[in-house]
Amino acid sequence: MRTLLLALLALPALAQAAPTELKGQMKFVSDAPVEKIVGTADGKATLDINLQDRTKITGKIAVSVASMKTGNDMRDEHLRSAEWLDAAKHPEMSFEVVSVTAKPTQTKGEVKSAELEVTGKFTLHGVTTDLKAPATIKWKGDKVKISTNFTIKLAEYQVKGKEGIVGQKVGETIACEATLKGAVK
Amino acid sequence: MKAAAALLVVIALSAVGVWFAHGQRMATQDKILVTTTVTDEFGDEVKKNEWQDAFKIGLDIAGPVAGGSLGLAGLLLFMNRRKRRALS
Repeated sequence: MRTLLLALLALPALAQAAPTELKGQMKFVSDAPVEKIVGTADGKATLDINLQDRTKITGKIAVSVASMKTGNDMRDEHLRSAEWLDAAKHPEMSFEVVSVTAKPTQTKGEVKSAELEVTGKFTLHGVTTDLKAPATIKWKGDKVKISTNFTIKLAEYQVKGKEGIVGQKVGETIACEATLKGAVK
Repeated sequence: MKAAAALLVVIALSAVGVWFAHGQRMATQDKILVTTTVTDEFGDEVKKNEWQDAFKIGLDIAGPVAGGSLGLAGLLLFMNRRKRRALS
């Protein structure tokens, strides 16, 4: 009897949806006068996704600084060094979702999608700022895909590098695009 | 000496040529990002990015090789001219 009571009490907790794990890649582009650098990094997200009400999406997207690649091992080491992103102190950059506005659902066959505008706290190099980014969420059955693109200004995050490099060889702004996929639990 | 200088000029021109052919990059790439377009499970045409091992010479290598070779070629020609003048 007591076991049954405990099981009944535990039901609401079990009914609560587990956060969705999404994985994907972020591509970043630095377009400076002297050099254009294209790189990638691995991203993952832990989000509470309510497909019926997308404005209730919450959670965090994280990108590992150690996984950043630009096609030149020496440059990647510099990128991770204390002079640039300081991967030892700040191993990841992250985006914490604060609020979401969503446009109506579009349906194309089995795939549903919605345009979102996500506002959140973006943290890079230990500095957190507010960031607003457009995003698209698509879902088909339990599979879900979120893509977004945004730009960041290195100066806002105290990323200075060697003197004279930012603005010449490295762009003052970095364009980022990310796509994450997973299955809603 | 003239033959050596000519060879060095050829090396310098080759370095510049290879640099041009490899995409005129500033930094040498040891991997290149290969982007292919695939259709994902949502029916979208998406770009799939993969790093592949490749050596693409940048100006950080081609520049010193070309500059050094041309400099050495010039020095050899200068020394050759001085030698000829001394003999005559």
